[in-house]
Amino acid sequence: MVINKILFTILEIRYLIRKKPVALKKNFFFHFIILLCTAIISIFIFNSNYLIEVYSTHYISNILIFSLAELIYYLGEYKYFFYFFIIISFLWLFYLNFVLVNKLYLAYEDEIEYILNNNGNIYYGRLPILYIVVFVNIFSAVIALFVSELFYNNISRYIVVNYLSLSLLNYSQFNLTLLLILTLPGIISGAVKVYLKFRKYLLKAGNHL
Amino acid sequence: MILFRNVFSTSLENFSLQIEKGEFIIINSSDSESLNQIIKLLGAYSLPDKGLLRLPFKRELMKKEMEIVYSEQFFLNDRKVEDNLKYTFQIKEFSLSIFKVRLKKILDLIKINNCLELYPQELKAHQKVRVGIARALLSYPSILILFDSLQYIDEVNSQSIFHLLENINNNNITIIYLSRDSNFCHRHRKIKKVNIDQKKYLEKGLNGNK
Repeated sequence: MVINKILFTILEIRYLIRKKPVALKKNFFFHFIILLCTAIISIFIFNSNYLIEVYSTHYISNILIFSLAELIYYLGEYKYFFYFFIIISFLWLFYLNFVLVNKLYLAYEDEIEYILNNNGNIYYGRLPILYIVVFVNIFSAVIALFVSELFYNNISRYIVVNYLSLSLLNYSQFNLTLLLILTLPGIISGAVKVYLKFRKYLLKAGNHL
Repeated sequence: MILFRNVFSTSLENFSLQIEKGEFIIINSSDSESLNQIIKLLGAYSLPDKGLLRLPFKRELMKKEMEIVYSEQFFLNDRKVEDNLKYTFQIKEFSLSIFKVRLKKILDLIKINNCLELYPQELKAHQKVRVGIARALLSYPSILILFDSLQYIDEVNSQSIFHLLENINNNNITIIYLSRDSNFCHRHRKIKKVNIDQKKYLEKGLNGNK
């Protein structure tokens, strides 16, 4: 029964997503680039906050300037590992997007055929794919952050093993407020741009009569 | 006004025809390729090799102004008929606030009130065609093309649909019916008919005698 309820909710969400309006192809890439940038920023913040605790004699939190200064200081010594983990996180995101888009095109094959038969706009077929991919990108960014953290700490050998499990929840290691402040503007600006494009699109359609 | 004058293309040879605005016309031929070629030329998907072709709108607009109803129609089986119609309305860049007003106008012409709450799997063959015609009329077309859409339907239902098409034609919409059956013309004697095969046969015969 529980499984049935879960499946029903998923189908309902899928149906709601279908009804929503479309965003253009440019916005798709725009959104994707913004999410990548947010992933980079989040990794930088995490590392900076963590490094303060390890290296600095005086612990300073909630100040970005000091953390970045410490980060730059650190990069002089361990440049290789840092870039290596950033590349892994990027590859994870790219892999998810390429695989997911191909799978979702198969899932929405009927709609795309329907649009092509009725001379409709193909962008309406890409709408649900866009929304799902955006959610997955946010999810993948968080995973990339977490995974990179684990690898980073293991190889650098500055971490105590006990901290690994609840490292994200610790306020001293990972500053959530800073992450939210810096990531949300990127996501919101993308969402607003998509909404404005859609609004223009609706107005154009309304004037047809 | 649509005008073909001595048009040569892949399957058409020396084809000439004149269709005025708000006219109802039946075109017959045994070859389906020649009928397909007519649709491609009307929708500006392909250009003629030789001859003159005049269309009422620009080539970019012809795809929007023209609607085609095939014999086998494709629906989305996940959702109801009304949602299918709404989805087509959304695809063709109309706002959904106008949808109910537009649907009422179409339901006055085509009475498919019983079909709206059904799924497309539950529909019968003649109901599918009626829904297909309704779907085509949603996007304010000026030309409606039927490509052998009454092929798999009984004579009683086909005649009722044909009377329905005459009512649609009274609203100043040109209707072009493309059929493969040569007997299809004989049922409806008032409407203008063209048979492509006879012309082609005569020309080939004359060339052969020479």
